[in-house]
Amino acid sequence: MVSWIQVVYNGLVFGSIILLGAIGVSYLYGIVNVPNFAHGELMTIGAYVAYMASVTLGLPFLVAPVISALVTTAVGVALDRVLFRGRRNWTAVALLMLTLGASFVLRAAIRMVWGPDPLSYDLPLVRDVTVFDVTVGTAGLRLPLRLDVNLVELGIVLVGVTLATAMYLLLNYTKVGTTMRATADNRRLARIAGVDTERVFLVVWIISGALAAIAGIALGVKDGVIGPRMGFGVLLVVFTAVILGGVGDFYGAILGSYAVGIVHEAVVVVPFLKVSYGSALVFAVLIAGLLFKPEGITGGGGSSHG
Amino acid sequence: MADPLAFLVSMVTFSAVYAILALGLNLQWGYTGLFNLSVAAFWGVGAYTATLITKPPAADTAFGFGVPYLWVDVAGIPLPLAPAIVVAAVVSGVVALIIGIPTLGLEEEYLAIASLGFAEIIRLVFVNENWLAGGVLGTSVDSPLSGMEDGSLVLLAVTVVVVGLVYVVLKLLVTSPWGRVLKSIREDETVAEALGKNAFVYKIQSLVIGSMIMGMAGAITALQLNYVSPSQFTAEWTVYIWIAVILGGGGSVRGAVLGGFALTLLLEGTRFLNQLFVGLSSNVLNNVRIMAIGLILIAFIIYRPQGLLGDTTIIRDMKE
Repeated sequence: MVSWIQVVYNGLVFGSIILLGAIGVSYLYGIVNVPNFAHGELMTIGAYVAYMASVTLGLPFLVAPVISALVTTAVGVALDRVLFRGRRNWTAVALLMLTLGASFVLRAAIRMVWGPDPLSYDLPLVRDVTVFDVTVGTAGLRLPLRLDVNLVELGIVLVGVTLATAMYLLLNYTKVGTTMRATADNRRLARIAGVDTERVFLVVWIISGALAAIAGIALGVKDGVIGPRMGFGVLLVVFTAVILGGVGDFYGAILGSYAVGIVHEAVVVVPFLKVSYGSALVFAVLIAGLLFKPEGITGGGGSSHG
Repeated sequence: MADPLAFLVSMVTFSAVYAILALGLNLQWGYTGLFNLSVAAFWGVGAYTATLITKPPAADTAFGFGVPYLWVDVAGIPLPLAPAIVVAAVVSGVVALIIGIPTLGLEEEYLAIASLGFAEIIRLVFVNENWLAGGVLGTSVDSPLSGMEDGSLVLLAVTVVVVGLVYVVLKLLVTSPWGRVLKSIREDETVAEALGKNAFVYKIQSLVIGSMIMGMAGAITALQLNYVSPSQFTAEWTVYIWIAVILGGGGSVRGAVLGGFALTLLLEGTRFLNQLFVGLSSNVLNNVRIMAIGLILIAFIIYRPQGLLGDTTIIRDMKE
């Protein structure tokens, strides 16, 4: 039997990566009205720029995320300037089509620059440490409790929680945060009240790009490889987290991401399903969620109260 | 057959298949406004269905019923009933019903995301379930055309007949009262509801019929490639068929057919780039090609959203 504690721990690690993507997707969708299907490519670019900084240029690995976040943010802001800025009155679906085209173009660019084959950060191997390994229960019902962790995974959770907390502070205790929440609630009213909504959109793109870069790097570090389709591969899981949490809902994104992370890892306890069905299980939950609770887990009706 | 001719026949067949897929998507998106991102999945379901049911019962796949592919012998006379294509359409339609029920009552972006997720589930099944149809490696097709001298011409004829039939049926459907309800749903669902039309039921019908058409395209593709594997039915193809519909023009049956041929020009025609830039690696060239296709999609959405022959009300629908 599988140790449930291990499943939850693995889910928290994966969920932390999803969360970094989901905050960006949720705000781009909720505030800028762009359901960004190119977000996966932003994550991939983040992972590759960090590769370029640390492996190709030989910079220390901890400098790489900073460079990567800057470059990815620049790509995101450029996308907004070229594709979305002049089309703020377009419907979400029309903008979605543009992001599909953008994702195609960006993925081709990534393959052009770094090639189609997987690459890897030259990081030292980190060993798993067994925290505990016991079996509880009586002869009739035995429950194995085992938890293996490693420093890289704990680091990813720490980064996810830290950045989410930073977002929380930004949203609730700064002027920028207040204008973001106002714009999410009602763009037109915010503008009437004197909010420079274009500035809010810029801030959202900057935050989303930076978080996407970190998410991409974390994914590359966790999996040990980076590839041109890595971001696209998790894009739907990120969208599932956003939709389950309620679009534009900050707390919903957190809840949705960890829920989706745990479901993704819980595939090991489902009989007859191979481990590679993790994301299929997530989409099944999405479809069930849409069927029974289309307004999201927190039931906020899609409006932001972050 | 001479090589250039064989190439031409194969390209026209591919174009006709893309046209069938575009016709299906055009009914869903162009006429009803349904944002279906699982085109590749319905295409794949059709291809796998036709491949599996026509295999002999002793095949190495999950099952094989030895169903005839293109014709049924009745008292020595081959009747062109195409049982495999019909069953492929039915199975794709049933799958569409399953995905439509939970998603069609929601805002259109949700259908986009849920249908992409659904396509991924189907792809994962094809990849992982080795017992079903060979997993990643795929499985061969028991083609009735394989021994035939001019098999590719017969296939082209079959494909053209299917395009023609689908074209005529769609043309009749979209100009019927039923088709006008679909358009009114695309324009404004609330208005359609206010006029007493159950928008959900019409949307389901549109999704199912469109997906059945895509399933038929799958059955033909299986014959053309003589092999089915998950790598043929990736999400990229969904985007390609979207490009075909947008280029040809959403909300125009003729436009969808034109889009299918335009797509072949884009996919194959951009290969001339390889001769233009000698000295670049094939990786760079391939991706310049894909990038150009993406840019053309973006340019059309921005500068000519109604495509070449499409319905200009689509432009109005794109703005809030």
